[in-house]
Amino acid sequence: MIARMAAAAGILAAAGMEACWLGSVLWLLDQRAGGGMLPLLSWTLAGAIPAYALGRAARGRPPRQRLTLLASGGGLWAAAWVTAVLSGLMRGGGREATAWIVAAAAAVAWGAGTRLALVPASTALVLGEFQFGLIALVAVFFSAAQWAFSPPGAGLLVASFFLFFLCGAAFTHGGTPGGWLKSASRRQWLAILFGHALLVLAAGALLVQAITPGLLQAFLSLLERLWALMVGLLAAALAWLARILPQPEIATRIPAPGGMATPSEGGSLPDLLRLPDYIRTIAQVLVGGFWAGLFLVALWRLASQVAAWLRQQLGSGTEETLESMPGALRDDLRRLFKRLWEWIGARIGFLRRFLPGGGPAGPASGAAAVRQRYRELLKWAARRGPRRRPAHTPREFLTDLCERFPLVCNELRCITEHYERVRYGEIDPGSETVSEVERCWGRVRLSPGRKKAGPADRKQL
Amino acid sequence: MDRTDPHLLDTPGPAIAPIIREAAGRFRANVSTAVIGRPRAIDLIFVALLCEGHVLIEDVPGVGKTLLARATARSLACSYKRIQCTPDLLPSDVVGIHVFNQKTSEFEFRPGPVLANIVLVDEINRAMPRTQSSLLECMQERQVTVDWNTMSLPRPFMIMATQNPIELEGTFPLPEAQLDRFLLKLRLGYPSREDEATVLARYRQESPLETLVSVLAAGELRDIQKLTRRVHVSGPLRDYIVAVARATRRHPDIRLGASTRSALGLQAACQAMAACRGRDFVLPDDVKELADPVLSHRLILTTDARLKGRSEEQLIQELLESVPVPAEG
Repeated sequence: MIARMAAAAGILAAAGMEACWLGSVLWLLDQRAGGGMLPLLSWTLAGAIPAYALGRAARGRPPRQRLTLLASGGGLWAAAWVTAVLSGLMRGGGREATAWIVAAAAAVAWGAGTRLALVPASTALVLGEFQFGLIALVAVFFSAAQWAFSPPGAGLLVASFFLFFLCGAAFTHGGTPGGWLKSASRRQWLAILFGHALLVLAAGALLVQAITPGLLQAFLSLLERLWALMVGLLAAALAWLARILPQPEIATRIPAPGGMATPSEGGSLPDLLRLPDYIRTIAQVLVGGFWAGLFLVALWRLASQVAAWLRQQLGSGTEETLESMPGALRDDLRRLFKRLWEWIGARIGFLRRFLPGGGPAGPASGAAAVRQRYRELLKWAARRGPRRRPAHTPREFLTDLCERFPLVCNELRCITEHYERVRYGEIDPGSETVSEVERCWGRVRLSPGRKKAGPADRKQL
Repeated sequence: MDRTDPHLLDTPGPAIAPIIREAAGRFRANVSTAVIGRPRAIDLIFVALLCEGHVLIEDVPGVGKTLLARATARSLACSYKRIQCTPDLLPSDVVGIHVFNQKTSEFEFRPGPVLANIVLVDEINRAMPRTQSSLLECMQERQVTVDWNTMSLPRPFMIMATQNPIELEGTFPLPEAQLDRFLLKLRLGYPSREDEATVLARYRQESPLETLVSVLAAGELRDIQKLTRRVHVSGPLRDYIVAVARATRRHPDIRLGASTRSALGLQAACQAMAACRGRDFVLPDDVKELADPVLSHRLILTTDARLKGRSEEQLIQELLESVPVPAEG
């Protein structure tokens, strides 16, 4: 019960932080591109709620049901927003940008809601949301200051953001085994949390009163001067470098005999070397993307360092003993890149078949083949329910698998045992072993749905 | 003390495990005739034997601690001595002493009971700290120093110590340095109803301990110990062992975590356990199974954790549930 409450608090906190930064991003986009005419902002964000509900309902269901459920809900939601966008586009009058912003925001809100339904509610999730949200909020306020916009209720927004983080982290951490929510002194800890929340709100109010537009303006002008100084220094350094480098000698062109005009006479050499406009545009986009990425990475590192410092202070530990706590965002990104890499690998493997002598794409050695089959087994099982936890050994996972799929328990054991020999014994299996694993895998893939394991099956394990 | 097979050490890798499993089976079957219903404890003691480690058996009186130690000693064709610890026991009573021989007018060394293959140190926590400390050198370096003379102990050498966690009056808790030198700590617990009934039936007339025969010669044991070190431990699994050991040092409820010696001990114990199960490579399951007996006695919990009623076993289970196992996925 307590664990569920803690998980619910974690999800609520994550959702609150997402609403804070997504709302501020939407506001900025509206001011910049939509002319301050963005309709139904709260409804756009509210799309996360049905997405979350659908995601929760779909969790743990068979793949086909899950797909139907998510597709029907997502389809309805998408249809509603497509209608809104189309009507906005048809009406014209400068509402096209607004319509596109609304559509994109609705899609992001939907995605965020579905994601929250699928990730486990933990301190890492709350911390990841905090890190990402902090970056987004800093970027929004910085951009708003550059474009001379004044965000309404910025103090309240930031205080709420920190409050969500504080409560979410406290409750999710308290719900872990041995956490304060399960201890006898729960009430005292709750009172301390309440006191800290009040402190955050009071600090937020004080900061709002203390930081006046004039002060901010002075700070920004200082930043501007620093930036100008840096650019000046860079330009001076480049000019100095250009001076010391040898100048290229342009070869004199010899006129054609007989005074005939050459085809290239109309233009000079630099004109010939001039890049087409579309290439220049692409290059500009690439350079812009690179700098924007660099800026985001710098902000991300900064936020990570601040979070690490905070944890170190709270845990009164040294840097060496500080345990790494991967946040949800980092996990998401890593998973995304991993999937992308696997997708590219699969495409390359598919193409390799058509190369001369390529043959069917397959693992290079027997060991790689057995490991590949085990990976496929994990994916197959995850689609049907059992998922291997990181702290689970293959044998422990085999117990789960056999309870779920008792009809192919022997085949599952065969694959697992061969995998163990390859992975931990580092033994390269022969072709017979690989064929046996392939046979077992074939039977597992064709096995019917679930059936509860009987006592005999359990005993066999 | 004879080596049973001169070519045993030349055994190829995959054939190591069956040899050790057969020896483990022989040992288990023999000890089980006297010690009933303790297969896990017997296996762990054999694991410690294979690793040349020492065992601390802690439990309430009358559950078979000393019996287990004696049955182990009798199953091995090795020399066996017993030290009954009391507060007035002196270090010279353990390691030996030089006495003056009036006939030859020379000092002669009279060896202490620690100069044996298997040494049972009964109720170790009743000995004074200075006497307990006299065992440190024996346990780690397998040698004793008496009056500046250093002597090697016979191999194999194993100390099996027992202690009672209930009676604390007149006892001296073992220092951390000494606890760290024990490879394993076992708790026997009370036997099941059926096992207890079997004990009554089997011990009705005479003790089966008296009829135990040795099933493993000292030479054979030495060879098997050397073979055990050849059981394969993959790189990722070594990293896993290190991760488990390091996790104990970061846990907020643990004041003193596991030492590097304990990580080494865990690796050696896993090799031995894998060999006893007929495998020539270590699995993460071996690490999980042995983490508690190898690490629990080396951890010191914080006062807060003690007050919350947390135990070393609980914390180790928690840690094992949090450290990722090297596997696909």
